[in-house]
Order: sequence, then structure tokens, then C-alpha cells
Amino acid sequence: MSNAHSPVAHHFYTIEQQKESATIGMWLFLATEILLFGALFTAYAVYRYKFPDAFMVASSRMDWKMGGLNTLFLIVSSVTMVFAVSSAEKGRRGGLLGFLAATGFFGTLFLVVKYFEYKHHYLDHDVPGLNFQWTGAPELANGAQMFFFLYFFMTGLHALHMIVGLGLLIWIFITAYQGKYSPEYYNPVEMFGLYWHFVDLVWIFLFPLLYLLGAHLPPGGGGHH
Amino acid sequence: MIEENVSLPRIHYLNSHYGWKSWLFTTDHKRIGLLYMVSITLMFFLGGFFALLIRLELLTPQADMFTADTYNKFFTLHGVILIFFFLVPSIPATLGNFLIPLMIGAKDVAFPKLNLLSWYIFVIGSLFTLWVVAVGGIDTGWTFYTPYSTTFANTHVIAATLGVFFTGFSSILTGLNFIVTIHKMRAPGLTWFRLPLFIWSLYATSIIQVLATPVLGITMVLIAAERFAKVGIFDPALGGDPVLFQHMFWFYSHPAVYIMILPSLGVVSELISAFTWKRVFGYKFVAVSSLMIAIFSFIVWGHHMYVSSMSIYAGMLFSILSYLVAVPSAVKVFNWTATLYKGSVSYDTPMLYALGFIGLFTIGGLTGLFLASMGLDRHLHDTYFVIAHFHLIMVGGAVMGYFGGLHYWWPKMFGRMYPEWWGRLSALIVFVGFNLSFFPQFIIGYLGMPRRYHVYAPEFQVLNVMSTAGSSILGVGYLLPLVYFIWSLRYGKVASNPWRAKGLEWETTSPPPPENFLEQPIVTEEAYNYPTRPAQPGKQTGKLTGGLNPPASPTATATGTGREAEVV
Amino acid sequence: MGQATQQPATHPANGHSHAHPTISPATYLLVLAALVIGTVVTVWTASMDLGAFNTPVALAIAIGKAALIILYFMHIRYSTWLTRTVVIGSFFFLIVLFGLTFSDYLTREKTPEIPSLYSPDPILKQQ
Repeated sequence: MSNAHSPVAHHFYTIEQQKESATIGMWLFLATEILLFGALFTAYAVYRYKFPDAFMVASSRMDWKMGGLNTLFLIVSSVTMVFAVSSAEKGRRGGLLGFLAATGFFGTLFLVVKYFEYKHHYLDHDVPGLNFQWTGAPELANGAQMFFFLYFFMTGLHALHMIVGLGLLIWIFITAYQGKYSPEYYNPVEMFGLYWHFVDLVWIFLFPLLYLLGAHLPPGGGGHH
Repeated sequence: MIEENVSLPRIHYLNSHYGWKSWLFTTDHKRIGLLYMVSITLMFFLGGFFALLIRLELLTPQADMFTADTYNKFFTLHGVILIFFFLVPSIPATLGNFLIPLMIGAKDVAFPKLNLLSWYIFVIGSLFTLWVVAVGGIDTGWTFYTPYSTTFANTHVIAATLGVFFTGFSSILTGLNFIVTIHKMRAPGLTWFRLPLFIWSLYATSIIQVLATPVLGITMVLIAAERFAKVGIFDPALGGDPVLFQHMFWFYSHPAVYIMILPSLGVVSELISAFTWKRVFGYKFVAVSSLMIAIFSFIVWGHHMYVSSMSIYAGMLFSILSYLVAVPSAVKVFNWTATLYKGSVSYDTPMLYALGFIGLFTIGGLTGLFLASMGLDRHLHDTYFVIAHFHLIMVGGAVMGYFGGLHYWWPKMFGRMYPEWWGRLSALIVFVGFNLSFFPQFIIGYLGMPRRYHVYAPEFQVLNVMSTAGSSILGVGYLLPLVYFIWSLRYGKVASNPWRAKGLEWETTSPPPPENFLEQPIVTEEAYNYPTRPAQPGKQTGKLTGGLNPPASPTATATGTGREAEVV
Repeated sequence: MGQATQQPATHPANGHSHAHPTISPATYLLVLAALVIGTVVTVWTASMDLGAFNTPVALAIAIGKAALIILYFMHIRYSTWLTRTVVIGSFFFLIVLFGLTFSDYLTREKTPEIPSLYSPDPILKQQ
């Protein structure tokens, strides 16, 4: 019977059973996220098919440098996260805390860049429902608005997941600081890592599909940035 | 059926802790199952109340009771409440929660706190929906078709869609919990092909819940966003495509109907076996058919959209696939029939529901084939034929399965029997009322009466009156169990396993102890290990002759991670 | 409480139930390099006009990066068949959503005008 200090919950028999259950559970949750974002990618694909030119021109209004920088931030944060898990696995509390902090740092940088991006779009009248004004070719207006709606909705949902992720990271950091993890029990860190990598994965698809469609257009081809 | 010398166990999950906190903060799957039971029962009668209002209006061809707008709200709320707040959770969240750990020899589900959270999400979603009803409801149809719901409706669409989105997480968490539980927490020796068929069907249901519900969720949020921000995601005037909404909506909502029926299919397998005292014929086929239904359910959604201006080539593809999805369901019906053959059939209340289910589900399913045909659907779409089709399956099927399961496992859950005579009477009343209510609807639908209209051509009145009469009888049949079940909690005859049924859940006390089993069970037999009768040449008496146990099957190789075979 | 069962007398020495080789830091850094290079290549190819190939190339690189993250960062390379089935299954049904939805959109223009047996359908006539 698990004792008061054992991390094994009362309805499990061994820590392996608990760990395997948690892993499958987390992956099933990620499966729901794949379908959640996937449905949005489907809507994106349909409207891109419907408005190819408008999407290209609207996308050229995106700042791919900021998007690219954010991509690198997330990739680096994913690497620091795997090192955090690795540290936990080896029982290195210092490494765990350091890499968790680094992950949080790059995640926060991502959100800061996102804030500036959104602000620029707001100032450029790119926000559907708020102040959207299309000054390009009029036949592209509907498609452009569709593009920007999808941009804000998808990156907004993604940013929301980032914010939740940072909140969870703080919790993991605190519990790690309290010494709760050891080579025998570090599964929460690994599970959080899975979530963090998933959020990175979504961005890896968002970046080319939203930011780079118009990158091959000549400068000034439709957008002004 | 008659048990001698049975008494309630001294300590069980109901009396082990007292007080409202022990219920509202419980993590015991059995208590959570009962919490759900109370919630969904309330929603059941609320949705039924709207059905009553609909049927009252339809007594006459004219609009003499309600305006069109009010009527639209009634059928919308009837659908939203009964689909999202009754049918989807019903069996999984009540019977599933209660029974899965018992049936697999576990102490609880994999994530008991998530289980409780799923109930709280359900309750909050329900309260929110009740608020929406109270402040004026919605009139878009439960299908929320755009652009009406996004652009033209004047009702509380944003609130309703966000409520549905939120409640969807309850379904997702339940499904997630069940999948992990069934994979990881089976007792030693309980290999996959020794599992009860109820577990197989709940496993298949859970797969659908986990994969399909998120798509509905995000689609609901998109409606709210479009309505709020006036962007054109589904609005043709702004370049949006209403048919895209339908694709996204039905990607969930078709698999959802299998979420609603699969658990009942599992219950019926249990009932047929228990009340013929025979193992289910073709067990492996029935088990795998549940998985096949779950997988196929995802590839047929376009059959709801034949007349939506979707491409007819896509329609042809969906039509062929829709015919395919009927096959695994038919496999089940054939195997149940084979199980019934030469079984020792007893007509207790649960069996009456199971037999009613088989007949009505078959008819409902066959009429689905009519609708799967594009040519026929051109005429039948949006008529009462469709309404009759899905009510046959959802009410004649899913609800009857739920009632059958409730009656069957009632003694397990509470240690007391409901009054059998009243049980059988209610089952018959339900059957009669149901048929009187919905058979006429096939006819008027075929003759062209459209759905979702509060007025209709006068020549349909006779059949409509029959339908309303039937629904009133049906209502009585549903109210009676409410009364006698509650009565039985105090005054019912004490029972432990009145059916002499086989199954791990019956091997612990009724009601079970909080930790389900005093010692972890170790499974060495196949499911439904009823003694077989030796063959009798010539004379078929149909009676048990104290037959021999079947030879023990070779130990099935354990699948999975190898945990199942080890004795922990 | 029930005496359920046989607990292991001591906790196992490590938390791994099945031997999964620990991925070395060098591997992680190699994956990092691949991801960064992939990002750079994505931007570079996007700046060239490859016509219809722009999207497939960008998607192919994205899928490659995703595969690396899933296999190495999320440890699927060394995980159980069940975990892999969950991952593959979810992507499979996502492809179903894409594919069958596009089976509609890609064949819409091809829908022929069907002559009616009765009076000409005014809506069809407009096409």
C-alpha cells in the first residue's frame, strides 16, 4: 500500500503503472489539441484554396522577421525543455531549475514579440472586427479579411496555449524548487515537456503558412510594411 | 431472480462517508457516476418537457399555441439539451463511470480527480444552458447552421455555443479517462478478448469522444467569434462558406451519434448474455465491430449534406462509405440473434428493454440506409422521415439501452431491487408509446411533411395526433421508473446478484465497497462463462440441465505492455 | 481499507518501466541544429517564386521539423506501440478531416448541371 510519502496514488499499484497511465493520458490530451488546431488548419486550407491571391498579398503584410525570430525562440525553448527533463531524470536539481527558467525566458520573449506584432497590425488596420481596412485591390478585400481573421484566431489560440504553458511552467518550477522530483519520480516534468513541445509544433506549421505566403512577392507587391 | 438470505454489506461506498462534502469532493468513480445520474436525469426531463410542447403544438395544423419563433426555440432546446446534456454523457458518465473499474478489477479510473472535474464541467455547462433557456433560448436548431446562426438570429447564440464548447470538455475528459483505464488498469489475467463487451463499446466510444469533440468545440467558438466580431468566416456575403461550417460541424456530430449509440450497444450485449444465460455468440466479431463502428463513423459525415450544395462527387463518396458503416452494426444484431437462439430466455425488465432495442434499432438503422442514398435523401432530407429515423435509434435504441442497463445494474449499485412488475409494465408502456409516437412520423415524412415547422398541411393531422398521443404515453413510461427507482432506494428488496449473472462486477458486494474489491481479482476465465448445456439429440427442452463448464480456453496471449499477465 | 495487494517491497531503482535509452545531449543539439537550419531554409525557399511548389516545400520542411520534435524531443522514437498509435491515430483522423472536406471543394466546379425532368430549376440555370 502506498505510504504517505510515496508518489504513487492510491488507485495505482506501481509507479510504472502510474507513469504509463499519465503518459498515455497526456498524449490523448495532445491528440485532442491536434484535432482542435487541425480543424482551424482545415478552415485555413479551404479559404486559402478559395482566395489564393488575397492570402498571398495579405500575408506579405506580415513581418516574417518577427515570425522567424519567434520560431527560433520556440525551438530554443524546446531544447532547453528537453535538457530540463534530462536534468530531472539525472537528479540534477540545479540543471532542472536552470533549464526550466531558460524555457520560460524564451517563451516569454515569444509573447513579447507577439505583443508587438499584434500592436503593429492594430496600428495598420489589419484587425477584423476591430478596425479592418483594406487599402489594396478591392477584389481581394474579403479574402484578406479572412486571412487576417484566421491569423489572429490561430495565433491567438496558440498564444493562449503559451500563456497557460508558462503558468504550468511556474508550477513545475516551484515544485522542482521544493525538491519534489528525483530520478524515481520526475514524470510531471516530462509531461509538461510534452505539452511545451506540442505548442512549439503548432507554431512550426503556423509560421510558413501565415508569414511566408507573400515572401516571394516583389517588395511593395500589395502590402506595405 | 429470487435470492435467499441476502443482506446489505455492512460498509459500502454509499455509507462509508457522510455529508455533502463527501459527495461534492468525492473522487470515487461510483459516487461520481451517481452524481452524473442525477444531473442527466434532470436534463432528460427538461428536454422531454420541450418535446411535450412541440407535440402539443403539432396536434393541429395551424399555429394556435405558439409563434414560429417560440416553436423554433422549443425544437432547438429539445435537441441541444437532449443531445449534449443527456445522450452524449448518459451511459458513459453514469454506468460507465460506475462499472468500468468494477468490470476490469480496478480500484478506480486512471484519473479520479479529472473524473470529478468532468462532472463539474458538465454541471457548470448545464447551469449555463439553463440560464440561456431562462433568458430566451436560441432558435437556430441544434445544428447551428450558418449564416442564420451567425448573422441573422436574434437569440443567445454566443452564450449557447460557448456553453456547448465548455461542456465538450466533460466528454473529452471522460473519454480520455476511460481509454487509459482500460489499457492500464485491468486485473491480472484480464486480456483484451476476455473483457466484457460493454468495455469494448465504451472503449470505442471514448476514442470518438477524444478525437471528434475538439472539432465541435472550435467550430462553436468560431460561430461565437463570427457573431461577435462580424467577420465573415461562414458568411457568404463576406466570402465565407456556410458549407464549411457544415463540414466542421458534422465531422463531430456524425461520430457523436455513435457516441450516443455505442454504449447502448454494449449494454445490450451484456443484457442478451445475462438473460439468455449464454455467452455472446461471435464475441470477437462483436468486440471488433465496436472499433469498426468508431473508425468508420469518422468518414461518413457528408451524408448530412447531400442537399447543401456540396459537390455531388463528394456526396457519392460519402454515400458509399455510409453504406459501409451499417455493416458492423448489423454484425452485432446478427450475433445477438444467434445468442438468443436456444438460450434460456427470461423476460425480466432489462431483457424487455434489450429486446425492444434490437427490433427498434434495426428498423432505425435500416431507415438510415434509405437516407444514405443520395437520390432518396433528396426527397427525405429535412422531413419527418429523418426525425423518425434518428428517434428510432436514439430513443428506441440508446434510451432503451440506458433504461435496460439502469434496471440491470440497479441492484449492483444500490443493493436493492426495483419492483419487477412495475418495471415490466413501464417497459411495455415505453414500447407502445414509442411506436405510436414515431411510426407515424415515417409516413408523414415520406409524404413530405417538413421538419422544424409548427404548421403543416391538414392531411397530416391524423398521424400527428397519433404521434402526440404516443409521446404522452411514452412520457408516462419514463416517469414511472423515476418514481419506483427512488422508492426502491428505501423499500426495495435487498439483492446482490438477482440475475445470477457472470462478470467481475458481480463478484463483489452489492453495493460495492469503496475500494471495489477486498482483494485484487485475478481473471482466469473468458467473459460470459456460463455453463453450456450438453447437446440433446432430438428433444429441445430449452432448459438448463446442469451442463458442464466449457473446457478452459488456452490462455490468451496478453496484448499491450505485458502488465496484464503479471500478478502484481 | 482492503488489503489489496502485493506492492513491490521497494521502489524500483529507476523510474523506467521499460528500457528506453536516454537520448544524449549531443543528439538533442543535432536536432536543434536541424530545426534551425530547417527554419532558415524555409524562409529562403519562400523568398523564391517556385510557383505551385512553394507550399509543398514549406510544408515538407515543416513536417520534417515536426517529425524530429515528435521523435526526439517528445521521445516517440523510444515509446510504446500504444503511444505511437495515439499519435498516428490523431494525425490520421486529421487527414480524414482535410481529405474528405477537400473531396468536396476540389470537385465542386465539376458538378454538372443536371437537367430536371420537370420545369427547369431556376437555381441551376443560374450557374
